[in-house]
Amino acid sequence: MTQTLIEALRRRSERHPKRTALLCGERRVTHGELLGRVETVALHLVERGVRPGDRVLLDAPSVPAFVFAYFATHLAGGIVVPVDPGAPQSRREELSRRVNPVLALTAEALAALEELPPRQGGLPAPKPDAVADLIFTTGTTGRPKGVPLTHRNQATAASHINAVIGTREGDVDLIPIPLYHAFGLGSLRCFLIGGASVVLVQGFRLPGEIFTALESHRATGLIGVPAGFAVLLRFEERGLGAFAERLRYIEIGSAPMPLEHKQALMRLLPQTEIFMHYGLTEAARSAFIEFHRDRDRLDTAGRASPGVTIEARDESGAPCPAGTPGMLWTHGAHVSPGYWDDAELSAATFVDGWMRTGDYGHVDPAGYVVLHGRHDDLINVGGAKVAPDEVEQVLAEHPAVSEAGCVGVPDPRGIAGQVVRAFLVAAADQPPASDTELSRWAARQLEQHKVPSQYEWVAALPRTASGKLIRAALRAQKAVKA
Amino acid sequence: MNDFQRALRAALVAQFGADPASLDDDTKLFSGGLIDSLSVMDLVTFVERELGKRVPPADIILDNFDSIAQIVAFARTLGGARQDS
Repeated sequence: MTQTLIEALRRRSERHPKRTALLCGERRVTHGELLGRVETVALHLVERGVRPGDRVLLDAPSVPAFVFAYFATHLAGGIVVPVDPGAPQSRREELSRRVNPVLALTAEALAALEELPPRQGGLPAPKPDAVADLIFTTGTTGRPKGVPLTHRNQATAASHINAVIGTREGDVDLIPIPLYHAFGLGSLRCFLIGGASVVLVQGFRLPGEIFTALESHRATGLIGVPAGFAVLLRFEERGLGAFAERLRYIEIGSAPMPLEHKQALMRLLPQTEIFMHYGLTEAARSAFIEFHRDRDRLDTAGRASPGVTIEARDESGAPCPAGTPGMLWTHGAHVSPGYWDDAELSAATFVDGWMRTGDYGHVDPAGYVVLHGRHDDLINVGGAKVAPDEVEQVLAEHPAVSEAGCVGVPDPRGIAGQVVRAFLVAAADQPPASDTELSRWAARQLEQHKVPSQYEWVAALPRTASGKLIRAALRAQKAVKA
Repeated sequence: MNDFQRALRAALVAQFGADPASLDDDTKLFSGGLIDSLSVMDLVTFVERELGKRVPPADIILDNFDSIAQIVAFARTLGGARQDS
């Protein structure tokens, strides 16, 4: 089996140089051109000082040059650190402090890479156990966790995922998820090595862009998060239903999907394979379900992916009997080797190639994984994780607020899964702040999905004797009314 | 300003929390972060109700919906009950 994606891309370029690799607006990039740009940019990066193990920030939108720079960094031996170009400057500075990058590739830098004259390659493929990407994902305390993924992790996972989904040459796959997001980036890798053409669009901004791209590129595959599909579903037959004959499959991930949305997708797309994965940045796509085949098990996350084992374990780490709930652990060549700059968290999470996921659930005798919930307080807004501590800290800095506690509550629109609800204690002798003012305050320091959409003023927040916030009580609306 | 434009502006303030003081015809609604893109259907539903016309799904793009001016211009292409008054 291929041990690195660079080798797979080289083979594909040799065999099918004229086939389409990327589509973005009017632009088409063949596999031959893709590899040519990757080799050229890699040599340039080496000349700019990128050495094996060096970190390169990739801080740009989903354009073809993002893909060139991504694989070129790998070929140069570097580690890609994807950054949301919309992230606040403070987040970017924190990441820079933690990873000490040799280079930051922004949209402007990527445009300059497009101008480089073509050069012949010759750089050796990276070593399979070298780190390819360092993905930062929200941690429970608000300090993002750095998740390294090796070339072997990625190549193994891609090959397994393609086996499940059946990606094949001639497929045209639409990736509306940003490439800085692990789901978008993972799909890019899978589709390219599977021989599909990848259509890049700028996020699930507005649904017309998705429908137009599906139509104009005659797409056969679409990925997305449940919140995105919730928006598309509102168009019913005249939306996704119009593509029922052509869409061979869709893949959903990153957050739970309500049962009625699963059933609506099945009704609109009766011939389309509808896959949903369960996974984490640290162990991508650990399980899959296909809705039509498993129509009686839509309450589950499906079964473990090929080469992956999932077990429920008790508090001592011993496997639970089938059907008995416990902490879910996962094992396989897709599991990250351990967190960046956090040995303590790594030791608590990764044990002998297994990862303690933080999710509770059980595995039934037929191997279906049933999720019961998370053991922590992370909020999932449309697939983007929010650590409540971070939001609370920002709100508590507002002059009108003395204390804040945040929890996830169901999105009343039925779209994003959860939204952030903030419970606030007023500061003494300060004029009150409106919800709009608080949202503006939060939006100045936080990404949009972290900004609360609901506020409630309370006399006091529920706390333990030691002063720790009891978020479970907030979730149960047990805060003392102001 | 026609009836549709007035109603749209009022809805953006009342339903979507826009600040009336800083909302002008060219304020970027989605790309400026004023409206969460997941709420686009609420805006589309408002437009459809006001105009008595259905918005084709492929037309729900930033070029048509990212500001009051763009929505009003798009509404003219749809025709409908209120946009010419």
